[in-house]
Amino acid sequence: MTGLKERLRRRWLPRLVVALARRQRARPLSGDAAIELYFACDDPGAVIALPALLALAHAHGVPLQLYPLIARGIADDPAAEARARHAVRDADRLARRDGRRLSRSQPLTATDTAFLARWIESLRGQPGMAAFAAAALERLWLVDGDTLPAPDAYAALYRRLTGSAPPIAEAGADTALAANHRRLRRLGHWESPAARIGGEWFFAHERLAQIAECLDRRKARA
Amino acid sequence: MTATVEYFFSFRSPYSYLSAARAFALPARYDIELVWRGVRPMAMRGQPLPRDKQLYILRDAAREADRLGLPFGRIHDPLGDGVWRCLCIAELANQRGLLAGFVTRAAQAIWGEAVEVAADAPLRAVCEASGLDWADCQRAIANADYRAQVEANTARLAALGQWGVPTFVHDGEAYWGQDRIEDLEAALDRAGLRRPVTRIEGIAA
Repeated sequence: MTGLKERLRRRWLPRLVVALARRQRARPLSGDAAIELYFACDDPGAVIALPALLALAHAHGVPLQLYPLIARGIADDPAAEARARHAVRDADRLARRDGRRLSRSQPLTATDTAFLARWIESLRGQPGMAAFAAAALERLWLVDGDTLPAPDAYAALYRRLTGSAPPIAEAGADTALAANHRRLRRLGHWESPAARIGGEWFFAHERLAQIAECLDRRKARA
Repeated sequence: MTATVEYFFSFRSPYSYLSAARAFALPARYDIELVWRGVRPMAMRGQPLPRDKQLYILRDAAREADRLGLPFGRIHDPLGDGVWRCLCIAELANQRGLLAGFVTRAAQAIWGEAVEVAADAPLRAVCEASGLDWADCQRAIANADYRAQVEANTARLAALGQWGVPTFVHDGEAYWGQDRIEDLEAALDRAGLRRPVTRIEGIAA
């Protein structure tokens, strides 16, 4: 019995997962498909993912739905601090591929950027949501340097892009942000920046070419 | 003095497998010494690996393998004894100048051919296909010095503030992921380490 269980765990289950993933990739995209992006503002990978996904969504005529996060990652991960430090260096190198550089050299925390997540979430259903999210991430990671983000400066950005002042009451936004995290976990992912298209997950900052291929292939079959 | 690139690798990591051929090709294109650092897998050094992450890694690695044209999907997870046997034989292969052949062969066997490397007969076939003598490999598996070297490699990865594989370290910078080799190459280019292209007689430029 142990031998059979071992064989199932080591050999047949991984094989099944891969086979089902390949089958899913071959499936046509439904007409109402969208790109869902789950991202945390304190994740520098988000500043690589979001502008590129906006361009891809526009080019393919696919809606981009944003789900800002405060909570993310693996519980009690002993490598969490190392990951956060490495993510900044890594995002700088990814930005460098298309001629940009990060201005920030140190990681931020979820607390540092929580007000931005709340403000982005407050724009759900409004046309300025993606524009504000992209502009805020750009300022945060490419412009501000290693200073902590100042809400006043971002409030001006919010007003310029949405025509209104950022919300003061935050309880509703926190409930919505928690729901975004639950949705991420329920659908089978744990981290930022995670893109989901037709049930398939991608780490969006490092799989942009694969996302484009996915959209190309599925557009051709649809 | 030759520049070095340390290459941290785990036989239990599908991304390490996907990196191997490109990693071992680097010294032919750059004036570097590739320093082998075989390490214990995350699951054998206390790193949590939740189910969602395990599933994502398998699905994503399959997608990446398909892009790279590498066999993937007929898997036999080597966690435990299989990993240790491959790590020790890799140390022997490194001493014999047969490292690239053994690592690429063994990794493909694990991730693309469902070879059970914890069993003698299939591992022997992998070793002999790589030019290694099976009796030497059996001694390597029992060699405490090789195990100590693996532990030292694993400790060095942690000391560098890194946790995942494959990781490449050059000039104090760590590049984590098979898809970050292009960033490593960009750094090697900036450092002027690219070897001049050898002109082949009879081929027009």
